[in-house]
Amino acid sequence: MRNAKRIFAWLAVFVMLLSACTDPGASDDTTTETTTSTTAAPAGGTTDSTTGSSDTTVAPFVCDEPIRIGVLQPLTGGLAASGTDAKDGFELYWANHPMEIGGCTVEFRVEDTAGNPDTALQKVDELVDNYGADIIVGELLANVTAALAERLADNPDVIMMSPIGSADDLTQRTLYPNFTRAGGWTSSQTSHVLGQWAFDQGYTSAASICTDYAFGWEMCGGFTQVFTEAGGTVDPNEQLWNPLGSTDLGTYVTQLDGFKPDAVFVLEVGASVSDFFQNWSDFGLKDEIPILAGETTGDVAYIRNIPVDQVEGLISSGHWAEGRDAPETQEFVQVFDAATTRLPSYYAAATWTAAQYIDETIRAMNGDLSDKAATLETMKGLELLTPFGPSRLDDYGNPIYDIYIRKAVVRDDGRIWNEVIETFENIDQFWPKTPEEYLKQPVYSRDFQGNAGS
Amino acid sequence: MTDIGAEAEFDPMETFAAESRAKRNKTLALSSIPFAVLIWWILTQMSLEAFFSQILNGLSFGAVLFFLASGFTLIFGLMRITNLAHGGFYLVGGYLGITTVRATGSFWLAILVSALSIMVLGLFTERVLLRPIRGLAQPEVLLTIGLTFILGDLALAVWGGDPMPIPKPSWLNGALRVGDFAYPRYRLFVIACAILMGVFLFWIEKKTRWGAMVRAGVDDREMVAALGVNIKAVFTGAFMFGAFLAGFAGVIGGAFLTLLPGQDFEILLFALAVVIIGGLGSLKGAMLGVVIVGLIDSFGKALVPELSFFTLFAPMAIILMVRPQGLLGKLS
Amino acid sequence: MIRRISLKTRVLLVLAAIGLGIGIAAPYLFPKYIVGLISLALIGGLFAQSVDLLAGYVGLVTLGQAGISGAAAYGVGYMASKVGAGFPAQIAVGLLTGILASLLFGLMAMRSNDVYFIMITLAQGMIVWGLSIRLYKVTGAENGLTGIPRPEPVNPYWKYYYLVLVVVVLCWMLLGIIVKSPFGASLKGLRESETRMRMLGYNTTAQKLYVFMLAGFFATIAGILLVYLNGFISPSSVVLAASALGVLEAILGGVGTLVGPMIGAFIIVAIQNIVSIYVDRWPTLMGLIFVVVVLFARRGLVGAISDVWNRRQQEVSLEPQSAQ
Repeated sequence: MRNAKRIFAWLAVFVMLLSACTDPGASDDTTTETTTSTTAAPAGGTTDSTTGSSDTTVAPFVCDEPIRIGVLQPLTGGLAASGTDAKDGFELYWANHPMEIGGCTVEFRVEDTAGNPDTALQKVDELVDNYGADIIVGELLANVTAALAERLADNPDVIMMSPIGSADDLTQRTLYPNFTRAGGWTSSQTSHVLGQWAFDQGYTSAASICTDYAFGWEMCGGFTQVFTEAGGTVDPNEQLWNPLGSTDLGTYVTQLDGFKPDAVFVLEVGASVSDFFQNWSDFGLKDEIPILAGETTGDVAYIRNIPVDQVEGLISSGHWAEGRDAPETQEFVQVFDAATTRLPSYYAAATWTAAQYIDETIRAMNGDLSDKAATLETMKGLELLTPFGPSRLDDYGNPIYDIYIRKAVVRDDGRIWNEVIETFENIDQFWPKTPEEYLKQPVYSRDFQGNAGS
Repeated sequence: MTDIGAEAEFDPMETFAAESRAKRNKTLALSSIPFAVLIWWILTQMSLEAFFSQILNGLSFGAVLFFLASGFTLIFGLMRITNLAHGGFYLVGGYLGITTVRATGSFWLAILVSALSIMVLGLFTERVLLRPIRGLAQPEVLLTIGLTFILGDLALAVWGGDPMPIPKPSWLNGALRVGDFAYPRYRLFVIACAILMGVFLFWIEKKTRWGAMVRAGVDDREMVAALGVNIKAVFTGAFMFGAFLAGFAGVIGGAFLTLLPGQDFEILLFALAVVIIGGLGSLKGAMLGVVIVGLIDSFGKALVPELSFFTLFAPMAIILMVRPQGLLGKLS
Repeated sequence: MIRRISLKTRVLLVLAAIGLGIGIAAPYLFPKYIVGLISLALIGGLFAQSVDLLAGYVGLVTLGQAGISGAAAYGVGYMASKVGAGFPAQIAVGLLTGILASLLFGLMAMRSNDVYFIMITLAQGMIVWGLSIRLYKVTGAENGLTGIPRPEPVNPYWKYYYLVLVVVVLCWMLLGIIVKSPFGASLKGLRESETRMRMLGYNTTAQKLYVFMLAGFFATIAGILLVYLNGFISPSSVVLAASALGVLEAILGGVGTLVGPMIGAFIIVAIQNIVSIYVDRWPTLMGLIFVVVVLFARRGLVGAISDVWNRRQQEVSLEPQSAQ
């Protein structure tokens, strides 16, 4: 009884205190509202003046505040290596390009998400509210990227760029107004091409082993759909799905051996990549069944640590090929190699390219990024020569690239890298279909692989 | 009437024993039926060749777990310490192995260097960190997890986060072929290692003075101390030996499971499942657990891939519900 | 007659008042993201308190608590983003799934003790995690469920913060009543010796089930608060690490107290989200803190502080005696 009374007393105090509070956010809200409304008018004015003046002369850049970029990558945990590559790529771009653009200073900050979406959501709040980021670049994992894009979707003061996280729908069926994939790709974009190439090589049947999550489904679906629609066959029972982070792939390799396909499409990530190739060669299958690897599985970040005899000659497809014989690629490769003594993975190339997009956009906007919608439009209008090769964005904010069929080759210095053996030019995310046709089908999943034969 | 009474009076214990023996035989016979059905069903699902491959896959994965689980279970049985840093020992042992192989090119030296270094780490852990909190279960949990964080993060700082397999001797590469049947040599080697280690541990436990002390220590610590055995030294020795095995496992396992940050917790989870299913503190239990977990893992992935997340933990939960002390464990 | 309030109680009351004062003033004092972090820490603290109800008061360490809070969060998330139901339905389903999970897990675990209890709850947590990845039509697998809006009246971050504050403080008081009640006293008896409690005529198995479900209820509340805070739920909220974090927070702050887990939660949230901005090797720092706390403050931070306090008090009370 006395207890109850005490609780009520506490409650009463509490409620009184609460009711005494007027909206703490109210002042906040009004200030942000007023600032946006006051900046809205001059911002409109400047864009008018810049578009007007760009015909005549270069207008002086207007920068009261530095342009701030927040980068979110996993720097600890299982994805730390790839996250560090991404961080290094971004930092190296700015170490090799002026961070003063026409009187505007560029600042950036890289923060660790540990690959955890919950942490990433807290960090992005900090970057936007505290650091005052104009642009958020992140993350590596598709699911974290999706969570971030969703969180920022209703914030018109920030642009979200995803150079690595490749969930198909972010530039297909779930579009966010302030989201772009400049420097990035959609998962199935590169495996579509591999499906066609495999059929062109005369393979008629294929099995697959892919990691059992959205990225794996999309990569595998891209290959399966184009390969089967071209005329090849993939038996759905011969599509294996291993859980993310599987410790031992021996079981699956034994099964693949039993299927006796013409070729096997493989999409593994993390430790499973080397685990797969280890088993594949230990079970004596390396010279028996050809492997066609998805982009990440063939990436130099993974194959550089695998014994050379297990991966030499590996065929994969990708928008990145560090062995591509072109100055825009090799210049970046040399810069990165000199600074880190590593050959750059696509993670590094992607954030470098994202930085390049940001740099060029700032120049094109004369340093005024206050109108984010206009900034994004400008970015979409750019045509750049990036380490990936020529790049421009489609109407959905996803890059159109040349996609390469790559072969892992040992260099003179003994290191392995991917050289280009065939190029498919100007491939967008819907290739070989039109956007309208493509968007009628659902996004790839375990249940929908676009398999024409079944 | 009298007969039965006389017989019962004659030797009730004998009758009871015979009855319970008969009952046990009956349960065994009954419980083997579902197993037979299961194996028959599995054989309808895959070829005989694949069946044997999967058995070996399960056993070779289990073999790596055995090195971890036997050390873990020894430490727990003797000291009641749930050493959650065991996965961290495994990971750091593996990374030290990589460095040694890269520097010297010798896989065998790598095993030695790693196992010994981790043994020293074990000595430090037991003497400096764990001794002041002996017998306090919750602080031990916090401390060993803290240690795992530190080891994992420092490993990331030193070796980077790239997934790395340990290069193995060339004669262990590739497959051993018997007729049509091909199986990776290295995996067979790992299974052989585990069997040898198992026999060795069994011999130590049953036949040596050291083993006798450990067995006595598991049963009654105070008693052993009263008998004039330096129980603290036995504890330290056992902990170091467990750490030695974890370092050993790091190199053996790192050569086919690949090392990656975060694998410390993952492999620990599997090792925990082994000792829990088998019975904590029991060497025989660890052996049984290793076979069960290995086979469940490989056949689960092959036969019911859509359930592969549960095939390990659902049986574990069921076993614990029916026999909370594990299959061969004793209730404390 | 006026009951004399001891110095300790007075100090505690002042500290509580200061804490509550800061809590109420927080949205005026701190920027938005800090307020978000405080909400997160409060929810984490409630979660750790629910772990502590088992670990500190009954002596049962659970490694599956995130499975229960996760079940509740997924219940809410599924109704919100897949069914599109209203908030009452979302919250009802969230409560239902959370309580059902704790009933089921409690029935499975109530007969075991010690390390076996740890392991069976670990397996339970792993099963929920497995389901969250496997049932992708319900849970969205790795991508999780996005688009879970907050109820309109508490939608702005600071209003939601107040809701979290009120709910957490209410739960805290409820927990305080529970552990002080005869039921709570019998729980401590359970921790000391289950056999003795059974001999005294207590149905210890049933008691363990009740307290497991009580703890599960508070974890459920924490799960529901969290899913609306983030607007998002994914398997990373139900992994073993999430459960383990609750245990670590409780031990770090001090088990067997209610304020300890809350302090532990604030420390860990601060390390993960603020310290990690400035310190690259923050996991090492966190590990070091665990090790140091264990070695120098065996009963957690709160335990250490109260030890120091008690020693002081003894010295103070000894002094006048020696003067006489």
